[in-house]
Amino acid sequence: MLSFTPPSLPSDYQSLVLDNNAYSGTIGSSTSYDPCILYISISIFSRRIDELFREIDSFSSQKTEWDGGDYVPISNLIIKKTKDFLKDLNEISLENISDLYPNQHGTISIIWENKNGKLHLEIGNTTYSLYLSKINSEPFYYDGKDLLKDFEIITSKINNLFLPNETFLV
Amino acid sequence: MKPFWFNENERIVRIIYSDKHINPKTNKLRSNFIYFRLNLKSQKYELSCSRFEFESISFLRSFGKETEDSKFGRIYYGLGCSNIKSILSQKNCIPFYSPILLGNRINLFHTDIYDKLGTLISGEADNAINNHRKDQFLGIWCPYKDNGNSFTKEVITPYI
Repeated sequence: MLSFTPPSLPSDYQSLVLDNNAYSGTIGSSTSYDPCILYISISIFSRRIDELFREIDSFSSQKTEWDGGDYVPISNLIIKKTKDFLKDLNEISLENISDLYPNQHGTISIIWENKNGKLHLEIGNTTYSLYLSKINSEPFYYDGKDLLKDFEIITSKINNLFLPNETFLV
Repeated sequence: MKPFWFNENERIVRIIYSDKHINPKTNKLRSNFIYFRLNLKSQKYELSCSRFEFESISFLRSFGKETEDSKFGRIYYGLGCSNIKSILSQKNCIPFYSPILLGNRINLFHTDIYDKLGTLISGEADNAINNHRKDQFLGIWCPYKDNGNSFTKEVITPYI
């Protein structure tokens, strides 16, 4: 019988996945986890996080001015908030990010989009806003102040876009 | 303010910069392509565009290239195209012919689109309803990559 031992991983990567029940998305309802699948899942997850973090770091170089335009640099606070938010997301939410980009007025937008609709999250220094627009449904609008405190509300809306049954990840 | 000097089928274009305005993987426009900048003089939120029926591609191309900044990912990509009819169909958006006659960059066919509901505050998220409205407005713009000879006026059309 073949056996597979995953190489050791940084402890924070493992806790990231465990904290967010990300196993549910890749392994289903089974309670015994195949170490091989688990390792692949963790690797993909951490690679995606690294990729997104690199992208976010590149936003910090946004200039104050471009040819007379008033482009506002992205503050370190917004960069930190965005990273903190992303690292707490589960695998499904993270993998399904369609786009992530800086806005000229110094904020960051994260987009989730599929054939069912679109979710747009904009992160500012002291505010954030979120709308979810789904086919055949009234749009959901939310303007908040504490992104991390409202984490559950936001992720439930992301799940609402991607999962037919919201209880899947509970 | 009635835009009586426009024809409703007239095309309106705006320069796209990559990767700022367009997702390089999907070639879809990003909502930051629609940036209603507050003009302190007029106190209006304006989106800077050009009247495509009157403006040449070579002028827009050279303008786009002059304002490139590769260090910050601001590379001329091409043009986003819409038309007056679609713009007027959006609530609270009004086109206004505003030629630039002075300064370094004279632009005879410059046009602004005013956003009557503009509320942007630097470093803060715009409200959710406004973001939805801007994303809907984005939907009436069609992106075209400037790939040289085949980038002609005939191929650049708005969504119908």
